[in-house]
Amino acid sequence: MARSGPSEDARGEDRAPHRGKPDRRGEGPRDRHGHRGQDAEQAVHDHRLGALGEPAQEPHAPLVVGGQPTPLGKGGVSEQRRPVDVVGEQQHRARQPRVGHGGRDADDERPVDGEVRHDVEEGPGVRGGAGAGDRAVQPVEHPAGQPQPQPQPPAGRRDGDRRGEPKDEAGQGQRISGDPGAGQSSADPAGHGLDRPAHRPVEHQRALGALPAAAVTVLLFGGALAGGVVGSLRGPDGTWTTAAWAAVLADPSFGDALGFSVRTAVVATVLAAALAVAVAALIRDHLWARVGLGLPLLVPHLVVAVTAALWLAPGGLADRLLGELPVHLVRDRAGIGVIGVYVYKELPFLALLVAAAWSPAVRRRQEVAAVLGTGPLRAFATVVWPAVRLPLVAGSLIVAAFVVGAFEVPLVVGPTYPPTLATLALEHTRSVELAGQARAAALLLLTAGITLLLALAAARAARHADG
Amino acid sequence: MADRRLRRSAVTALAVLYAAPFALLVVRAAADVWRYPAIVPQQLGARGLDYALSATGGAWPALRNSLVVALVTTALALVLAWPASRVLARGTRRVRAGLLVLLALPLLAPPLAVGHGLSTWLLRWGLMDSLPGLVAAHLVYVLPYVALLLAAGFTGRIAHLEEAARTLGASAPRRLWHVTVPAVGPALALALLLGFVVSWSQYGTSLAVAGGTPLLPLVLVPFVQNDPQIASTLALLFLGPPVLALTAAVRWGRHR
Repeated sequence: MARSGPSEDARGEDRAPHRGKPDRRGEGPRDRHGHRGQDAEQAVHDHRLGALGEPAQEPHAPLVVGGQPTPLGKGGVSEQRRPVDVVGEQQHRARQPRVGHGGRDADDERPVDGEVRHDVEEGPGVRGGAGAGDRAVQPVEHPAGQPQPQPQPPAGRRDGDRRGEPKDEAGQGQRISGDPGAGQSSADPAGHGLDRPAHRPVEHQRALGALPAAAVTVLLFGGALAGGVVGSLRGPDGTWTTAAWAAVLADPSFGDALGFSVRTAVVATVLAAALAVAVAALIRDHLWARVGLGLPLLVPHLVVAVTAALWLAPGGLADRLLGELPVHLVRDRAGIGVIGVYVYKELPFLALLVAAAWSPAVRRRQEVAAVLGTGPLRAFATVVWPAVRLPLVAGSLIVAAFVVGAFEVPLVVGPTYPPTLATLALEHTRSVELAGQARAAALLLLTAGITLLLALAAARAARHADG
Repeated sequence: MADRRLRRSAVTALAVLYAAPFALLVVRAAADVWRYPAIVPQQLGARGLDYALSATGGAWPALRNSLVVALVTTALALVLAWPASRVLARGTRRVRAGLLVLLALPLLAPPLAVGHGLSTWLLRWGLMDSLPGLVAAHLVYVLPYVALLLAAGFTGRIAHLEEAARTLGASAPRRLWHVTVPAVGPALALALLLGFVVSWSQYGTSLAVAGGTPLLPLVLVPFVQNDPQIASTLALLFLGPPVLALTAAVRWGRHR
């Protein structure tokens, strides 16, 4: 809620110079590519606004005459909706009170981001569509000018770059709806009345599209969990027994493994997350640094672990260059090697997530805060942190879960004792007795449960952190 | 100004930190003899490569198996994730949230747990140590990444472009090939790239469902302790396809 103040400011500040010189959009590095397209969009946009003044049938007439019966369900309706779309959107915003917006903001950032993009992208899309008659080719070419092969940062950037636009549109809509009040009231119900029945079925159809992926996930992941349960309860002689669970819980190395796994996971995740914010602050202006930071994501954990072992193991290159290292960094009981490898490996991943959320819009808010005399730390806490918190927490959860279930890295650079939960389970699977498999299954289920609980706890903590 | 210079040097330091260590892999792989206190190898040679590619080294079948499994898994994941990612991007709020949680949930489970759980069924169906079993196990982790990354590409703009193409009379395949695919190009390239790499790097799942099948990571680990030269060679081989896939993805994403 506290955020809505500065953000409004930033958006307002955004809008003001916008009208004066639309060129201002060309400032971002990637905007140079999209520039032409955006100008064209702007032109169509203006054309449409003109069309709103006089009913302007020309762009729609051929489509209607073209007489495609099915599009009327979808295309036809939105064709009709388009001229009033600006007004409709403005109305929509007006009807959704601030509370709703603020609530969602505080609640979860990601969906809001998606939502914003949803709204935002509707703008250019509608524009492209409105000019479909003569400009259909142009928007298709448009993405070709944006070669960035990396999803998160461009998405974030694009998001940020355009964040000013819906506002802009709403502003212009305001002007329009301000003049002909009567036109608005007659147009709007029509738009919304048609909107509902036309678009709902489409959403349903799309939800069906998720079925294959959802079914496969349920089948495979659910099957894996069920297989674990069955495997852990099946005795070697085929009877049902809880002996494996009892054996696992009674085993003293289980407690050691649990402590070691959770400790390394928490330390590695916290370190990586803190460093990730620092690195994101460094690279957010360097597009190439961001692309470069994507490269370590492609390196398998195992390769990082092997490299770390070559450098840091006793007799490794670090030993040879610096003389005997004072501490054992590899295969040490404290797990420094494991933590180090994970911090090194996960830092780019988290930094990219943070950098993507640290959008130009957020930076403008930072500038506003600076102008208003806020110190950089306070500006970070009030402006940047709310924007980057959710991606950072979500990414950290994945990292922490991954480290708790860590496997190949501890095998290579971890100590022989204590094991991690996963390596302990591996020992069980390799035991000569048949009951080893059941014990491994029970242990792995416990591990999965622990990571899920950890994720749940962290998600809750993040949600309540500032509320 | 000073701030900018500081930043630039910090970024450079970061780049060095993330690039330089891997050079040691190349040196180590090419060092036939490198006894302890020496900082440079005493003798260079191709013993590691020779052994890895020999019949006993087993790198060839491992490379082939890893490649086949990664490609098949990624293709399957794409087919499944394509419609799902549209829902993730454009569905109703509730559907989106539910789907996100469902798809992301496996990412929180340890790979060995998923692999071991699946092996219970694969054993019964005689699919242990088989490529289909591996594909099924890898799919658990590849599918969420592909779907989530692809969803970033399915913005509202694309729905409108498709609509425009439809009103202009383009058939469904034409719309897909000439409108949708180019429009999601970068996101699609990245999703495929990461899908491939995720499957390629799977260790825990592979070990659980196909411990006896040669796959690169499974072949590599035993050498880390015993013969660092062979381990380094295999690690470089392990690194090769992701780098190639990256170049392919960048090119493809740029040309679309």
